[in-house]
Amino acid sequence: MRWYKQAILAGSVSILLATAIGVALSDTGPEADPDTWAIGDGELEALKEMRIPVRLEPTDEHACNALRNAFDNPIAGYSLCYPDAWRFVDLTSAEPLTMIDGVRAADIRLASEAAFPWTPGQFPTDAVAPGIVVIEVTTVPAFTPNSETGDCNPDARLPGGTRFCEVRIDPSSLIPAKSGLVLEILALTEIQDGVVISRAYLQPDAALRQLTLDILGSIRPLQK
Amino acid sequence: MRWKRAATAATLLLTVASSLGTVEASTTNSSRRWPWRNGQTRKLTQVDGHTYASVSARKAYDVAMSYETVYSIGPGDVVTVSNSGAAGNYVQIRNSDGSVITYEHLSAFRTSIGRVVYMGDRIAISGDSGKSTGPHLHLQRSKSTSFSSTALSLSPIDGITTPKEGAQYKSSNAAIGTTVQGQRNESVRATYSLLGGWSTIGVPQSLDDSSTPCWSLKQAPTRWMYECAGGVLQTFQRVDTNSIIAASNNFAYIIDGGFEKAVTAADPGGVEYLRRLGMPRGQRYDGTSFSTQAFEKGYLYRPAGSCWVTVVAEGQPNRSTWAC
Repeated sequence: MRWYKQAILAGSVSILLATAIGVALSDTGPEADPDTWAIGDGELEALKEMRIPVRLEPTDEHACNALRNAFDNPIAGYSLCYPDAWRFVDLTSAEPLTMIDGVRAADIRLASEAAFPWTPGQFPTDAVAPGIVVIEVTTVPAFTPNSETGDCNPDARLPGGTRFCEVRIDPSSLIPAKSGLVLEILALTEIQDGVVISRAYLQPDAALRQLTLDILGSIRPLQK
Repeated sequence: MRWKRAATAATLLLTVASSLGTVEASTTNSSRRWPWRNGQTRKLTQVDGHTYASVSARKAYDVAMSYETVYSIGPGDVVTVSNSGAAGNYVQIRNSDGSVITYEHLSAFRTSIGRVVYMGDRIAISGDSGKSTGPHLHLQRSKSTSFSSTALSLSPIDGITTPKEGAQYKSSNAAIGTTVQGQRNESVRATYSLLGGWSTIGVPQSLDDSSTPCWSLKQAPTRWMYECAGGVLQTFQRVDTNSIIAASNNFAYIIDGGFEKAVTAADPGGVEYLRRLGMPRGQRYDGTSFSTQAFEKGYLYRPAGSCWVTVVAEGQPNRSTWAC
């Protein structure tokens, strides 16, 4: 069974399910290819009905230590820890998310307290200011190469095994620029059958940088 | 005899292919269709306005699509399945003319590098990844996979030569030999490819086209292929004449060159002749003095140079139909 199917089953225990209306949970298309990260229409409809809590109480299983807050993403297959007062952001609304829709779970954004209230429609890189960090977390199949290694080459390692690199960028173009105002930290975490790609955008600040690395380093394959 | 039949079949296929002629550029036979589900409308939120973005995006479209299946707008080879800070998750498909279509801000992939895709094949789920402030699809065409390459126009697309920002457009996208549910008939797909693809046969007929054979019998708006006469078939749109690929078991045959007009015509009882004839048992044979095609329950016959096609079907009086 594919990992994301296991994640969906596992997630049904720990997440709230809205009433599914006429949802077929099986993939009706034989086009599904074991070599691709395919999602059938039935699963897509099921994802739209799922809601993921943005925060779990840390348990022994979620040893977040100083970061204190645990986030399990059963759909994307990873967990991470984040500090108090940080929140998940939907770029179209000012208030932080209280739940994450299953269909959006593949691409989430986490921001520091100072980023709120969010300016709707604002790009994360444009939001970067003193004290503000925005982390974009996406998941891709293992076979997907990150062609944008022109950002930087993630060859340094964090304690949990996540690889990372850092580069100054021009926030408008996201192109590396030596005098760029924004620091981008690119991190790759291997999970089952996939890779979590995280991009953190912040101003060059030693304390914030370290906190960001702690968060990125907490990304783990979700324990099944 | 098998090799003789194979040789004859090959000859017939070549005859069919060469007799079809050149497809004229036409807004009704565009090789590109909108990337969302057939029959549905979506809004273009931006057209040619990406002046702030990379060079390759200068003629791109942004479409209001929210976590839904993205269908390939045309045939090609998948050359990139990747992720970047700006584009998010993206797929690039190279066309036969070398240009590249890029689909950006995806939430999930439904294809992989190296795959050959036809128009209408599922390639991704749209999303909000990368430099995006809300779920939408960014669609662009460029000279190469490089985001610094020259931007190329996407139009005409689905019959539209000048799409307008803010306008809603209806998709007539349809996959080759595939139902809306994603079930594929490899015989139809193989025959389509063997006979030259869209440039020879054209693009799939619009789903709700009432002239499609057996439409009245099996009005199935959720299926891109039709069940009819004991098999499955799909109609394709060309400028001068339509084509039908009909498949039963492991064989698929094309009905065209005027014969598709004969089988789609109604008998005196109002029933399409194709339902009377059943599935074709071979390709059309073009001899020096006549053309003919065999079906399970009859055959078609046309004297060379004539516009009249005689339909001979079991239990039916012979009838001639005008097929020019």
